[in-house]
Amino acid sequence: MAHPNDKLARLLRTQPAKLDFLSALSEADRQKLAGDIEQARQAHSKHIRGSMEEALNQLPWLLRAPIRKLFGV
Amino acid sequence: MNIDRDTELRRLARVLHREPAQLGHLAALDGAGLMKLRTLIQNSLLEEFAGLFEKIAASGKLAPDALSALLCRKVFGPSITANMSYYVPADRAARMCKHFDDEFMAEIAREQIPERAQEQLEKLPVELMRGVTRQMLASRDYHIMGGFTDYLPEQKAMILMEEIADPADSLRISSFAQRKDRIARLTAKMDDEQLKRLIEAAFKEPAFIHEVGLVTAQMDAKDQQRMARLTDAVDPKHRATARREAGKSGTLEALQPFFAA
Repeated sequence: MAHPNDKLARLLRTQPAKLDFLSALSEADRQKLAGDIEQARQAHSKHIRGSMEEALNQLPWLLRAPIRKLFGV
Repeated sequence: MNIDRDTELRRLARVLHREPAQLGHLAALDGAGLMKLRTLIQNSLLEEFAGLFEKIAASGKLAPDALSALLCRKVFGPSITANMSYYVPADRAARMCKHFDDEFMAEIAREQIPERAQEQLEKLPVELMRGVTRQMLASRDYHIMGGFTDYLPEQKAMILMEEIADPADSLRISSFAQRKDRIARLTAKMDDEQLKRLIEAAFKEPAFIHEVGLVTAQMDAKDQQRMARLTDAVDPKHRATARREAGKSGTLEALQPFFAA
């Protein structure tokens, strides 16, 4: 059976049981929180990827592909 | 540690790119719950790219500090440098910082999670932090400064307080710091004139009255009595205002020596 904190646990990269302190929140509140976290995650991801692109653009063109491969970006 | 809920809500709102008023759906969580949630969110964001930051940090392991610092400034930029810093030994990170200017250091600090940067804060010479403090005051990054205040060695915090000329700024920073006990110890070390200026600034805004109340509540009886004497010197009516505020925020009991003085 699905745990009520499954979605939040996935977003927070943790175990549902570790989110028991969120049981004070209603299902609707948890959904809203999940939306907040997802949005923050997307903004963070965009920011880091953008910073990495900027960094790669500072390098000579020939070096970019091997460095991309080396760092897995 | 006594977790102040409003302080934690402000910090969580920053992490979520929201205003505190937009987080009404978290009303059922107390300060400790909000803090736990914020820490989990910050760690999960960092973990998403942990492999990348670790690889970047490892790739510069053998390079001289000056060269690594140059790469950070010219290639990686503040965001990647900040995230990578958690995977660089604190001694080396502190040495690399000597090659950064104040502006770049401030940009790094804006991206860091203070809890994770604690060891670096211990190793970093306080002289390098002065410029960062000035930069952050100029850019009104009170939420960042408040977060760092919780983890900065107290001796360093004391020295950096010299950079804060406007007492209202001290209160703004304090409103984002969770360790009010530390703020209370630092505040108690101020001289009478500095404290009077702080009290004067505090009673100009309701949010500041609340903040100075939380800080005073963490002081011992002797320091609370000193605060009471200085509050009366600024304006004898202020203590009645403070009592009303303390009644609302539930700090009346902790502030007993202040009101009894």
